[in-house]
Amino acid sequence: MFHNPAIGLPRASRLVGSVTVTASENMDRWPAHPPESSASGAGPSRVARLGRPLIRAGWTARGLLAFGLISLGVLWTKGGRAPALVGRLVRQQVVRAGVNLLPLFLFLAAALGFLVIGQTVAWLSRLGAIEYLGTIMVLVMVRELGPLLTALVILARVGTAMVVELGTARALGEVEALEALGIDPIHYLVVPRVVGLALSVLALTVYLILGTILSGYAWAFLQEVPLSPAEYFRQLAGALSWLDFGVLALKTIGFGAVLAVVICYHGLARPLRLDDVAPATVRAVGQALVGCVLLDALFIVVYLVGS
Amino acid sequence: MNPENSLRTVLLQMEAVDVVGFHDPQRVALRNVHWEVREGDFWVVAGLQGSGRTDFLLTAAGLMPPRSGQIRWFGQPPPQTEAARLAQRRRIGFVFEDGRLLSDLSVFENLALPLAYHGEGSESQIAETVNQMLEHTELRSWARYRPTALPRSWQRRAGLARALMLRPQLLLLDCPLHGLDRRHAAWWLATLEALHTGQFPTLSHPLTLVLTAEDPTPWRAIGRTVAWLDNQQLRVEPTP
Repeated sequence: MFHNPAIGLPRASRLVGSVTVTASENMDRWPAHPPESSASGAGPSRVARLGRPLIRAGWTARGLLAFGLISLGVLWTKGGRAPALVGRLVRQQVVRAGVNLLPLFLFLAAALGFLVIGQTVAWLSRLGAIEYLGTIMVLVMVRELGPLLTALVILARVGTAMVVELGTARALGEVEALEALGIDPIHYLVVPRVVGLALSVLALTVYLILGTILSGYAWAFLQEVPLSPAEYFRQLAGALSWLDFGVLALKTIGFGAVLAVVICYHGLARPLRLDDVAPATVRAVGQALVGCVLLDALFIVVYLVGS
Repeated sequence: MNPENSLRTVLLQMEAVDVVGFHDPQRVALRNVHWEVREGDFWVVAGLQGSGRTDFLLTAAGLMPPRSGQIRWFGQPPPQTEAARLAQRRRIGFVFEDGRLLSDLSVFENLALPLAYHGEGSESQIAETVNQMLEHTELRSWARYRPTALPRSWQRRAGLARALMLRPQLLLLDCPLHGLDRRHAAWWLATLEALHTGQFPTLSHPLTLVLTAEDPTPWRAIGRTVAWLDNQQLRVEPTP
């Protein structure tokens, strides 16, 4: 048998198991669900009812982690192969998940600026703490809402379509077709999405934050808040630290990678029939959302420790 | 055994191989297969639906692992390095029954993909090679279409064209005549004969062919070997 690195490349598969396997074999190894325990005469006990979803979640987490490591392995080992082709695929993903969403994000930025400033100005004025406007903007938008909202909008707008597209390709046997041509499906299908989504989340978050800051000031100006642009931006600059920039970059890239891995895992990692594609999409959206929130929680810990 | 046979290189060898089902890996489709394909062979593997034709072919191509047994390609044990694996992979072409073109690419892009991925020439060289192949497979008028716009018979033909792009030595085809009208069937019979004898325009070397069929009758000819998949066994018809 060929030790085809395609989906389960040899080097990466060693990360998961001790044997090298073909792409489909490696992907198909991850079960959709944990093995069911033998049915007894009585119905499932309370412990079993509670335990099964937990075990299932554990299996899914294990599969996602293995898939993520394999994708990382392919990115590392085959990063330089077919640069023109893979580069074009990455650009396609950036256009799809980034550039095409710019108008939506400009609208969101305007709406969020009005929303955040509109709500806070009233309260800060009452408390005589208008000098904290910039700080609140940084706390809300740069550290929390900006990256998370960007990731969730991309998940809704592009991620769902990607699961359907990959799931359909899997169901129609396109993964095997790629393998037959000596093309690594992880390299061809997953790597461009991981890189493309990571770059898109980062870029759109920056646009969203900048747009929100500008629209926020516009809203404050319309409300006749006694705050000059210089003072507003001084507050913003004062509230920002180098840690914010570093964590923002890491967090957005992390969100993009989490989205791509979960999407590709559900679309590609197991053999699918066409009627499995819809449930796989639902699972992918839920798990990508949970993954992003968990990663966000991890970064909150970094902030708490860092500050 | 024909003494002439033993002089030709063994391209594919199965020893005590158990083939599993692609959609149900727990099911053993074929047991204890001993089989040898030599350079220049033309094999027709016949079997009814459900006999494990596609599973057998996928296993023979190295796209699906056997449950047990050993398979050797080109007389070599399974390659251990990535470069060796790729080199070996490219010597084997596979044509799926339904073509399995990538649905987000046009027919032209589907044909160009293996060359672009493996870095076979510049963009203009690849375009020229693809155009030649489109010409010889009468696919030129479909070049800019997505696969879903093509009738199934043309999709399969495009699948053949794509498999030939990397100039394989061994070509495996899954039921190439299944569901075709007379015109397409005649084209396939003539084209595979040309490929086998080395007379196909864009390929300079003769190909070793293995194909599956429900009915081997259209393929019967002198020099071709027919085998049957029946009752989980591979049985080779005695050569007349």
